[in-house]
Amino acid sequence: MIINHPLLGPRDAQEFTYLGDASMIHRPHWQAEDAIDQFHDYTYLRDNPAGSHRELWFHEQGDRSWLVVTRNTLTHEIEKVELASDVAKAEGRSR
Amino acid sequence: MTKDFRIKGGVVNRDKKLNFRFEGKAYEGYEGDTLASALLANGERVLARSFKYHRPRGVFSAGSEEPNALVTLREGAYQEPNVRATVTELYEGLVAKGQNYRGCLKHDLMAINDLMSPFLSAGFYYKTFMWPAVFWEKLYEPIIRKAAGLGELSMLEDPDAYDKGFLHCDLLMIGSGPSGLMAALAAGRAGLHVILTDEDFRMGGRLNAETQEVDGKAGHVWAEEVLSELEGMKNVRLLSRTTVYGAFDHGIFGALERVSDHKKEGSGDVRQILWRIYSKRSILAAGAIERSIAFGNNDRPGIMMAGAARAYANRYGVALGQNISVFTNNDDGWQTTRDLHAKGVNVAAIIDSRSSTSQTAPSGVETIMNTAVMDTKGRHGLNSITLTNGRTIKTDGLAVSGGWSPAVHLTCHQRGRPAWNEDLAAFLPGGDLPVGMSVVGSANGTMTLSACLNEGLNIANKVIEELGAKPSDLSVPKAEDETFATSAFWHVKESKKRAWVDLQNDVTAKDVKLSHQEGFRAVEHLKRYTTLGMATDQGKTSNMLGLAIMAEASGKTIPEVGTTMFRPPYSPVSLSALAGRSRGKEFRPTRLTPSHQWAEEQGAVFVEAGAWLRAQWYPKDGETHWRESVNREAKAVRESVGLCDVSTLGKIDVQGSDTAEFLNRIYANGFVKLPVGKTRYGIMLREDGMVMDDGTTARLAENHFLMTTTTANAVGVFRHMEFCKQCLWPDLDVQLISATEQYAQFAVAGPNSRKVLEKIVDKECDISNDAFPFMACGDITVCGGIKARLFRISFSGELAYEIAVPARYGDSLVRVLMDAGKEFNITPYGTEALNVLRIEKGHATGNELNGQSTALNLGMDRMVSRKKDFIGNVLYQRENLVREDALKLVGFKSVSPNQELLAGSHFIGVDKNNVQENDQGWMTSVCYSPNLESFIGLGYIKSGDSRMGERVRAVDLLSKTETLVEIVSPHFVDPEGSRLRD
Amino acid sequence: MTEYILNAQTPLNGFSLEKDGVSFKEVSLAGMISIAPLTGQEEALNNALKDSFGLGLPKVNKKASSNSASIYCVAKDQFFLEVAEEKTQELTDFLKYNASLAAMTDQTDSWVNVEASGPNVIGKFERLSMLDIHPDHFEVGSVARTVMEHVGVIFSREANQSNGDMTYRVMAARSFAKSLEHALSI
Repeated sequence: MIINHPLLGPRDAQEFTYLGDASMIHRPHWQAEDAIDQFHDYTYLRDNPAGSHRELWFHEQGDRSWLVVTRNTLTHEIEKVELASDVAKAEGRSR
Repeated sequence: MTKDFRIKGGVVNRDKKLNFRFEGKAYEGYEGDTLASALLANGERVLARSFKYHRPRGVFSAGSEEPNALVTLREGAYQEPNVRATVTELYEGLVAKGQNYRGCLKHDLMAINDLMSPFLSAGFYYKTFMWPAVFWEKLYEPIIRKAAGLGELSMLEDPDAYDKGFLHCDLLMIGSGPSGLMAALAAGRAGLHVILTDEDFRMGGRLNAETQEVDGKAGHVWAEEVLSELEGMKNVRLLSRTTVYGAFDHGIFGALERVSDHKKEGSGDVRQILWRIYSKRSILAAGAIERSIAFGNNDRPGIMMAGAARAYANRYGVALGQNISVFTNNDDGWQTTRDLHAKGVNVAAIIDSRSSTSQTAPSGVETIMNTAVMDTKGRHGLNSITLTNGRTIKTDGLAVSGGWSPAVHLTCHQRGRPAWNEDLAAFLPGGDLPVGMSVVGSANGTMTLSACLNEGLNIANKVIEELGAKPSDLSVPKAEDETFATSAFWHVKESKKRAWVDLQNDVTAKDVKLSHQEGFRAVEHLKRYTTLGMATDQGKTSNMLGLAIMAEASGKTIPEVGTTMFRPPYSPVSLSALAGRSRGKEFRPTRLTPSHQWAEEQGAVFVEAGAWLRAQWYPKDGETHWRESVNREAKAVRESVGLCDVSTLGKIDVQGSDTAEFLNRIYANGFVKLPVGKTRYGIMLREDGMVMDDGTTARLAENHFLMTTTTANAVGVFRHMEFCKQCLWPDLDVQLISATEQYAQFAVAGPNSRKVLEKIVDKECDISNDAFPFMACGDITVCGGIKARLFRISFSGELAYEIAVPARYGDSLVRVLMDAGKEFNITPYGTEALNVLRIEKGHATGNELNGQSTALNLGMDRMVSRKKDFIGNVLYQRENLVREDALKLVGFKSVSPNQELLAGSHFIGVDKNNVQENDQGWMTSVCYSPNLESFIGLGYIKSGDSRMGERVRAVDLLSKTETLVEIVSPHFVDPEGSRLRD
Repeated sequence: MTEYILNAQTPLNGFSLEKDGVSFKEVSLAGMISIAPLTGQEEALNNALKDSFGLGLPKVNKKASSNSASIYCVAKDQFFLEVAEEKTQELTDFLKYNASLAAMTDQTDSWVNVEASGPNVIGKFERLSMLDIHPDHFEVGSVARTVMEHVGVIFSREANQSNGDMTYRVMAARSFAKSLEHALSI
């Protein structure tokens, strides 16, 4: 597959390692009332769509940036590629 | 007596004779011949014996779709089985032999199978070889193994060199026939970067096999002119002998280039290159493949595809017989009649299954309409055919034309399905093409010459514009459109004898009907039950027939039955090519430590630790067993001083104003308050609460830390830290970079370690116990001003340091340290002794940190902070992980000291049965301790820390051993740790 | 007491090879550091670099060079600065006085560097690297970090030789030096 890196342009997927669902960006708060349930869901539960999937890829052999890739799991079409840090900040992650 | 079947014409070079051998006999051919054409020219008809029935078989086609003529090429270690003679370029000194026979090719003893055919029909092995069970391994399996397969491997290592490569282009052209050449020319002239591939050694596709003219000249001459122009273009790359075998995601294609298969073996060139081609657009111009018709005894040597007969006549100057006939269900068979007649070959008759046609036969050729061939005679070579009207015709070559199937394969490599076309009675590319791909020519169902040329140009121009370039003024050359009328006539029902569908796997029409009868009616079931289409030709000439017969039996239409899934590779790719240059020791890269060369000089034995080579032990003269060396090394460290290269451990440099906070969230224990100039042991959890890694982290300055990780986890930990930084806490001011490579780092360990270091550390640096206590770290200089870092940390439990210098001095430093330490008998020690020392101290490593253990299990629960957020903090506290009787890491001693312990053995109570309910834990690490003169181990056992002195059995049911062990403290040596602080 | 001296070695001991239309030679660096700007410090850093070395921070995948130094960018906030012998003191000073502007580490010993030039240099690298290093797409001053034969590398296109031959530089982690040499020598 080719991943169109937002800064570096198209790169072969062989330069990357795959982690999984981009929902991993939203780590729950450790002091929440139901923290243990939230962390359980965060760590173990995943959707498995046959279609568009937002997922985390690490450009290990490239610029070492984490990316959020929106990819169709059936056709492998990659609809969008964003820097994970941009996505994280936009979705409320900070310090 | 060999007859000569050469006729005039062809594009072979009659001035260049080539000598070759087949089945031990010497023959002559010409440059430009294939092995098949040369053998046919010499009158050799029997080239192989079929898979199941061992029937004599001959050449069936003129291309890579060949099901029959599979030979073993070359000898010795170069021997290659199942090579299609139809695509094997002839070269001087070629040696080949037939396959799948006992005795000799002409008189195969296994031909008796043909008489057993009623018992060997499809799926027979599902109904046999069951009973008695004890016969299976001893009798049935060896017999089946011997009988299975066609050719044999040499079982010697492949002596050839292979390689991989990567190419980038705007447009990948797959196929260089008329439509492919037009498209390539258009794209080349428009300035696109073009790669033109063809599996053949001579580009031009069917222009080399047909007699139609293009632009007023012979088709192959026009092709030569176009190719000459393309060769001169800097932006075009021609790859002949190159099969594009797979269409992968996003315009990536796999291609196999046979660089020197056509040269005598051992020429020294790389043999094949596996190319990965990145394309913006692709055009598939792969042509169409002729299919057969099923009729009784349709598999005899001398029966071949009609298009192939033309190719042999027009390209190679070879006739398939001296008195041939043609059996066709469409107009194309008539072209074969005309072409062979024009070359002076006698054509006895043309038999057309249709009731009428506009085609005409040359004078002297009998035309028989509305009739079919239903049987043939001539086991070692056709000599007559029998028609459905009762007539028998004497003939020594039968050209069969069942119609043409577009080569859609690459369009379906990404789950696409082809679409049925009633007029062509064929499957065409379906709607879902791989991204960026267009199809032209007969691969797209465009079956006539002029239409192909037009389509090639038009589609190319479309692609050119899509890519933002300007089409050139290229126009279509003059050419004629032959007529193309076909019919859906698949098998001759009147046939009483076996009618072959899949020649290579010996599947007959009866087998297809049997499959239907037994309920295997879905097309994927038909395939697997009968093995139709599962041989090396993947049913290229036979799948359609099988589908058609199944459709009829099921009362369905052909599109309703559908096709099976198409998968790469299009044609076989050798494992050697897939491996490329990654073989033997060079299978993957190796990482060497700065002291590697020195260690080699010492005769060290090395071990692979991930990609690294680490010294495992350093044998001395006279030592005959590794344990002797390891015992000596481990003792030397505790008694005086040892030296170990620890450069492989991961080092991550962390800086920024939020560094301490960041590390505080990565580690389970606290790091915010670590003083500058101090090192601290850290334990890192996964989010699920399990221990991920451990290491020591030094605070070099307020906002500058240097982390270490274990060798094995360095890459994973670094990845994890980048994830936390970029995805979880993107606004933290922290930067990470690996520092593993910058420094050569050595552990100097033992009671005399400080004394050794004092000899090389510059006087200005105070490394006395007060100035540089246990867990201190700092910058120093050595050997007259060389900058170094010193860490007072100890894995061995002795007074110890780790000294780091820039890697360029690594080799020099180890030699200097060995010299400085000579008076103390300094001993280099490897990973085995390192392991003994750390087990004696009860330090956990990978065996204990196996991804299933928590800090609690390790006895480090008190290190885990309850007051801060860090990765793993919440799930660490899950009920089942903090239970009363949780596993605890403890030490184990063999009750009889010289009884060896086995890592992996499980702990069972002394008087309990060896069943899972009684399993209390397992042994993680063991060694012989020379310092205690006993076998010792570490392991996890329920509530271990409150069971000191208790005895249990360490049981291993695989090796059927057990040992009585005593639970002891894991800190076998110096449990107070007083030596560390000396 | 003996005075011990430490001798320096390059990763490949001055490897050089002429084969199949390509010349390889090991290049050793006088000084190299990594630079990662800390939050909000890009401009100050840029100015400090210009003051000390006459070069500012280049865009990603680009290299800026002078006679005595070059800076290249391999990631949004990851740069490498290389200096010639005459600038090593400036480099040491820069490290010392600008710790608040950027995370910096000494990288001088961390890499093995091999320069490759010659008429067949493209043919050589198309058998090794997935990158499109065709001169139309990879101009002089281009940099790319990728993987080659399972070894992480940094590719850059250097100025052509005086005879017009294209020149590329391949960098890999020092511990992979022998494997890199092997990959290039086949």
